[in-house]
Amino acid sequence: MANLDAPFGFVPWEKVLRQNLYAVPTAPTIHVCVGDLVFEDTGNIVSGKLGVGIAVYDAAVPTTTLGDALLCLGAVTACFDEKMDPCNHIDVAEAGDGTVAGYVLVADHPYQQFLAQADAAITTANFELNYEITSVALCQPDTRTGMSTMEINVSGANVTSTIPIRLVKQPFITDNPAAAGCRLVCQINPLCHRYGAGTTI
Amino acid sequence: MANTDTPRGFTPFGETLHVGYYAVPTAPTINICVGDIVIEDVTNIISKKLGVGVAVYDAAVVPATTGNDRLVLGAVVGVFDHHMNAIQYLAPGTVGDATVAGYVAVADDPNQQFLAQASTAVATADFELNYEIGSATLSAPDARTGLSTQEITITGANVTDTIPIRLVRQITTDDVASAAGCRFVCQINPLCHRYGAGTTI
Repeated sequence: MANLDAPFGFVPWEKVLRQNLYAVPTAPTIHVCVGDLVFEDTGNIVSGKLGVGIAVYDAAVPTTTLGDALLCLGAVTACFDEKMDPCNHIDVAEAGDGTVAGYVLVADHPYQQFLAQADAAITTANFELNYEITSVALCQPDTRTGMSTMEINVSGANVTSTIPIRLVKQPFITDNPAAAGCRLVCQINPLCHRYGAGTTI
Repeated sequence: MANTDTPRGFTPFGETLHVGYYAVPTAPTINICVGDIVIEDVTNIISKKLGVGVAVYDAAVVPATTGNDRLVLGAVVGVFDHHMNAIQYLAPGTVGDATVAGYVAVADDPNQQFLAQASTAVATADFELNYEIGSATLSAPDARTGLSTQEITITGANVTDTIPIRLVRQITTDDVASAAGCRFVCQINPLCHRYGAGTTI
């Protein structure tokens, strides 16, 4: 059966090991959606609902190898506005309460597994490498669902420790790894994860 | 609401992921209490109840930057005498069976989250750094409860990978981060944890 090439972000696979809430600063440059991999900003934040804490990086689309500049928090499982009311996603330039645009619940265990799709054919010989992530302009969500359209970027796979995705397995044999859209179980390279790396940034 | 500045050690937050038992060598110099972060001794031990295994370091209070010389095991969740009878805490000089003073059950998963309080005000800009552990003289327990009085030391926070505590988030906005006693969810820096670090000491 041909793959359905429809990116859906990074969805927790099997048990969700843990989740924590993080604040998204006011007026984000990008969308923040369910399924997005999010990274910690180097500037922290004091929010009305969470107090002092890590801010989600929202100044630009996460680069493909963010491990060299920012550590990954995990993948968003829910979005909330500044009043902590559930919302579909946090929009670009959302002002919120002037400090935070909203909040996100993040599956942030460093060993959390995720399901995501590959943007192109996987080379069997490269399966063990680290993989980049890819996002559309401004992390635009899927127009029908509001969910993330992030996916695993197959080109650029390398052993480099700053590349954030580690593949685990192909869970559905009905998918074809020789074409775009093959779904894969993956997790974050621990050296790129806030709770897996020893040194903070 | 003002913070209640009462250190209570490190209490597992959320699911307790794994508990292991460890022996405390005879005649410890320090108190060992429920809530104490404990670290491994460089000398191991053969005990009657556990056989050969890692000994808990008890020659001095836990160093502020444990990763320099010893790895963290986790936080104590139960204390037992040398007969394996449950007790409140192990006092300095406890002889036990002359090999072990007693035993401790330790929440020792490297990704275990803990609740602990900050010793002083937290600087928002420093939230992402690694933090040290603060202990009273001889790790004395709370005089009323017998529980640990360890806390998160705010001074000395740095990116350094030998500093053992990583903050996750403020537990409640009822606490004020700009004063002592604010409670935080935290975990051990994986490079300082016996089951998270690649290199043993």
